[in-house]
Amino acid sequence: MATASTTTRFFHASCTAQDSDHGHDASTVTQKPAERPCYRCATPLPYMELICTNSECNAVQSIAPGTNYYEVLGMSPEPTFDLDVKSLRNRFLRIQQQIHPDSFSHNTDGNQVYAQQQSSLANKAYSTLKEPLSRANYMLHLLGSPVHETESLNKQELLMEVMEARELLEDAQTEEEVDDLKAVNDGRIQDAVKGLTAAFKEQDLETAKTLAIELQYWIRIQNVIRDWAAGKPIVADHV
Amino acid sequence: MLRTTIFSASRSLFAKPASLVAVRSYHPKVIDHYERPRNVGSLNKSDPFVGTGLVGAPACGDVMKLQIKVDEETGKIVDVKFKTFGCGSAIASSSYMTERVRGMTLEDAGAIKNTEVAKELSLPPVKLHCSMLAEDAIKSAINDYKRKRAAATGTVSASA
Repeated sequence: MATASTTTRFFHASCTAQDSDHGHDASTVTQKPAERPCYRCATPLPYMELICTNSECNAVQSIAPGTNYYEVLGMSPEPTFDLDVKSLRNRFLRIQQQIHPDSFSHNTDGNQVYAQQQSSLANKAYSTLKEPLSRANYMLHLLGSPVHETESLNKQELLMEVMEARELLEDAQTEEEVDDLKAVNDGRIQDAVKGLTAAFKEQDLETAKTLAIELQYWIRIQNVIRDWAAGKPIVADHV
Repeated sequence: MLRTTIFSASRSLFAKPASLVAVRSYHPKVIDHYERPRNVGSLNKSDPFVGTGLVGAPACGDVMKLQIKVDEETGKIVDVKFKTFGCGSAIASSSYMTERVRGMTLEDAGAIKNTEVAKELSLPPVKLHCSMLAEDAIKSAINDYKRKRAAATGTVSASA
């Protein structure tokens, strides 16, 4: 698995991706050409072009097959953890400006459908890459080392820290107490993100996976803190 | 308060309130355990006859603690408590497990399979891992108890 060529590993079959979290699985995809023809007027277009550059056509293009979320947002296919979220957001907004389905609401040909698909894929790509946790999990998925749903965790040290943090939160009575717990937890999140940045840079997937799991726990605690209200019992905190 | 009011007001505008949809997807048995969880709490971790199992589901960030107190004479589980921070299915699975193992021998308790828990609670396939967590938790509690006893009685084999 580790020896798969980098060009084929980082892809997904975009059009069929709707079920799983990370949707985009590489299966039949090989190296992508630099261009592909407009499906309507056959003008050759850059592979990721959203709208045909032929001014008499202007057709919204279908989703380019075999691209990962990085490419969807106009970056190199090489997955990277250390990215500038602000520029990511700009890229995302630019794409949405071009192909927002509302702009094609009166269009009866394929444009509207393709615009919807492109827009939805861009949404998924952006929401996955902008948060460190989902970005880390997506990278682990692309790099062949995902955190599986059925995995069980036996790291006693981490679990004890999590359990204690959850119990402190459960027992907290005042906003001040919760603020203190939040400060501690924010520190944990920062440390995990810092560690992930280093681990991915060094291509140490094992450490990255461990840290992604830790981060998952701290983010869950962050969510519980966000929803905390005095006197409100904490029971099931997600579905 | 204001937020709650607005929320409940806007809710009535929709035919299918989001909360109802969410509840409907849980089986009544899960809801029952979730609303009235059995045996919630903690036993004294340093009690030599208490075994503690602490397990987690890394993909979703759930954590589950299950503790058993064993009568050394009979070798049976005389008390059991759990604490789970997770989804309704994880809470129900551990709650059910505590009811199931009370009074059992360690051997019988360790033989309970997650499929039994899943079947009893009618868990959907996406929630099977919650029942697995409950199975891992009881096994880990039993192992912890055995380790403790082995250490206390001077037996060398501490592996479970």
